[in-house]
Amino acid sequence: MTGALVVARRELTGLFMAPFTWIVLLVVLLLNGLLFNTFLISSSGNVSATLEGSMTGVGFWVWMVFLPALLAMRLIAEESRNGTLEYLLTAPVGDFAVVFGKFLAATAFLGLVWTSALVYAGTLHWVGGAPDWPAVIGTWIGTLLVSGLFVSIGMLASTFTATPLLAAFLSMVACVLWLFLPWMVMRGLSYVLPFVADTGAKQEVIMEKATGIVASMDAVRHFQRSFQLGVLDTAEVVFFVTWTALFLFLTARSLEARRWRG
Amino acid sequence: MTDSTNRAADVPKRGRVGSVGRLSRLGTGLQLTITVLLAVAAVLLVNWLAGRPGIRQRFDMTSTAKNTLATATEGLLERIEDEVLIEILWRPEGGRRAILEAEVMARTEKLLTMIETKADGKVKLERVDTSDLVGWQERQRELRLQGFENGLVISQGERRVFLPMDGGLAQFQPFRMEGDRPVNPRVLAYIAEESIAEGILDVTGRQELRAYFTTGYGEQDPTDGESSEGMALLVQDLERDGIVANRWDFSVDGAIPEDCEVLVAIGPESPWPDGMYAAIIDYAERGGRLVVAPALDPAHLMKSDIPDLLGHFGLEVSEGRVAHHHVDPQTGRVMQGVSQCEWHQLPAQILTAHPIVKPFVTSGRGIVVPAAHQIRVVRQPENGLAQHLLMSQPRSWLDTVPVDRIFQAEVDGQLGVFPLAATVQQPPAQEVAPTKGLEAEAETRIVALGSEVALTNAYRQYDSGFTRAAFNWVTDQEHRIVVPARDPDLRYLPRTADNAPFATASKVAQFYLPGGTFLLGLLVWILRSRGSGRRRVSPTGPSPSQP
Repeated sequence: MTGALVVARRELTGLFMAPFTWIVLLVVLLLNGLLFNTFLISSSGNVSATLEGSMTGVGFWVWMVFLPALLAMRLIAEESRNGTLEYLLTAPVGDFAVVFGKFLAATAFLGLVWTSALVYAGTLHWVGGAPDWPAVIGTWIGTLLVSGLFVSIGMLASTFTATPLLAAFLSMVACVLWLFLPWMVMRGLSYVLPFVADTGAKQEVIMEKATGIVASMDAVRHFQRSFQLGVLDTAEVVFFVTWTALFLFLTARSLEARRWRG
Repeated sequence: MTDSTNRAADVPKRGRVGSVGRLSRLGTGLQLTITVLLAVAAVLLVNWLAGRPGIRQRFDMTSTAKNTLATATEGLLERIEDEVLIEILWRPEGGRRAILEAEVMARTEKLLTMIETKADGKVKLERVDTSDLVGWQERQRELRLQGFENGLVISQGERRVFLPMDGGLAQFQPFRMEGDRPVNPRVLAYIAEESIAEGILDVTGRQELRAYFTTGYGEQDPTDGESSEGMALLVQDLERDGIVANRWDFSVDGAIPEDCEVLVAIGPESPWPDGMYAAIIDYAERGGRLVVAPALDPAHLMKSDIPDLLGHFGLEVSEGRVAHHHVDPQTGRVMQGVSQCEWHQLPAQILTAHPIVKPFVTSGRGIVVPAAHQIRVVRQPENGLAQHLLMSQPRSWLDTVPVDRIFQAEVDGQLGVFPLAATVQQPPAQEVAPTKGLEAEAETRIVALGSEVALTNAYRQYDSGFTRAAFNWVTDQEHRIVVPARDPDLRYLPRTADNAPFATASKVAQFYLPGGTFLLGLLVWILRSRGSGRRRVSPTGPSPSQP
């Protein structure tokens, strides 16, 4: 754990020393600010609706595709290209500590980005529209968990190449796939089903089972059914934590595989 | 010669090494694949376990618990046997109410998601594609709907209920002018949960329960919808819960009908015949259900058999009525009218933990109780439970006859808290079969209300569901206990003439926060440039950052 924390500190320092990070932060905050303003006006000043839109609207999911990819590109592929990753992997910390440290740093950075929503909430409170703070905090915790999941997916995708741009592209594709996979599976199934099941009843049964399986993997649905509402649901927490852990584990294995791949 | 011999000997050796390497890689790859598969399986298993009821825990962090279903709704969802379909009809429309309607629909969709989750597959949601005109017209014919209205259609097979947005999901205050000042529409109450629960009950094939109202001895008429003392409005409410009202006149009908599931005695003014009194006691002791409310007038009350009937089950009704001081907030004067001193506004904080009032406590809603005698528990039944249902607000007094609503310590006793209603539960005195139509085993249940006024037409407009909840409890249908309406979400930015709150919030989000970030980034960049500059000109040795 100490090793992971050392790596996380090193990564965070590196992140905040890079102009790239500040540019990204500035762009995100500018666009989030515009979105916040739009939600505030369109809801006629409804505090709950404005904060929900700012924290969990489409903008949030769009950032979830781009930001983890950009961070993961920097964390693994760029280090790999510069040759510094090998030094890190041979340092007296385990592979998993390296992966976990980088993951912590990237998630902490995204956590800082989503903290802007808490600033918005604080501002609304200050000007007289007190938000439902426990619910806001609950949603913020959810955004952290979602960030963790997408960072871990991005990190895994970026271990497959040493070219940063390609790594970013791979990460984005992976994140988009994870977001749209349920929709794509259902869409594909509706085309394939008539060839598989001959009666409408059979098709309905298969479709129902498939919907259940697909829904259990749908990150957006998991988020919308709990954190977005201001609810902490242990099953949803377990969903995000376990899948994040799995992707981190796979990332560590993928890095390890470099050794025997040569 | 030696070299060529060595080279010849190397050839088969290199081949062996290559195949061993390939095998080793294959083994590692296989090991990795198995590890990955096991890890994925472990994740799936843990997720499955975490979703099991009993392990899964849900913490609603909202201050109003708006994401938590009422206990009554949860009970109802657990009892559904066949799938219920809820179709969402939603088409955004313009006008002054557009934003409010969108908010109500968004909130309803969240509520429906909670219901779907809780129902564990027994409630299915479907969003009707209203943009597909042909498909919609076909569905409209099936649903026998005229035109289009936003709302929900709850159905099970051929049985269906339509809940319109206006009146079914929420109650709106329409746009109006107050003098020259326009008053914008707003959501007065959000009632979707109650409506959906009732809709599900309606389509899931309820059983009809029969209530018999005693008549002929000065009791209020259950069919009278004209006078303020009648009870037709209560009867209509009960029918919505599947309780059908009938009259029972002992002198005409004889014994209590076999299919009686609840006997109701509201405000008798004269004594019952001995046979009738004995029949009621016998009915109750065999596991019958009673709702009793004494006459408001002390003289009528004392002439009737109600005090004896309640006394038989360990309850005592006072001749006088409970009153409290009422100070006019504008003039500061102490008022002495019936509505001022005898209408008890009971906020949620002082309600008891009785199952009848629990939904009111959890939703933070109060109950209004009109003029009431004191109903006190004086004796606990054997193996049963008698408990107070409603208590008056502090500093009330029991106003002795004649009820003048003026506190006189020497006559009225001390100020304090007085019970306004009570219930009794006890096992039947003899072994009997469960009452037909009721789900639980035979059990005597009695609700004694403070007076008949609580059930009259005049009071219905003030009753937020308390009497229905009482009837549902007494007929052992707690799952039909009314789900009280929830307050609309009123978290809005204050409106001022210069719109300053909006402007400030917008400035912070659009300018100050990004601006601050820019300045901080600039500072870091300057410090970094200076730092690297110093390192570049450093004449001695490597910079500290170099290994």
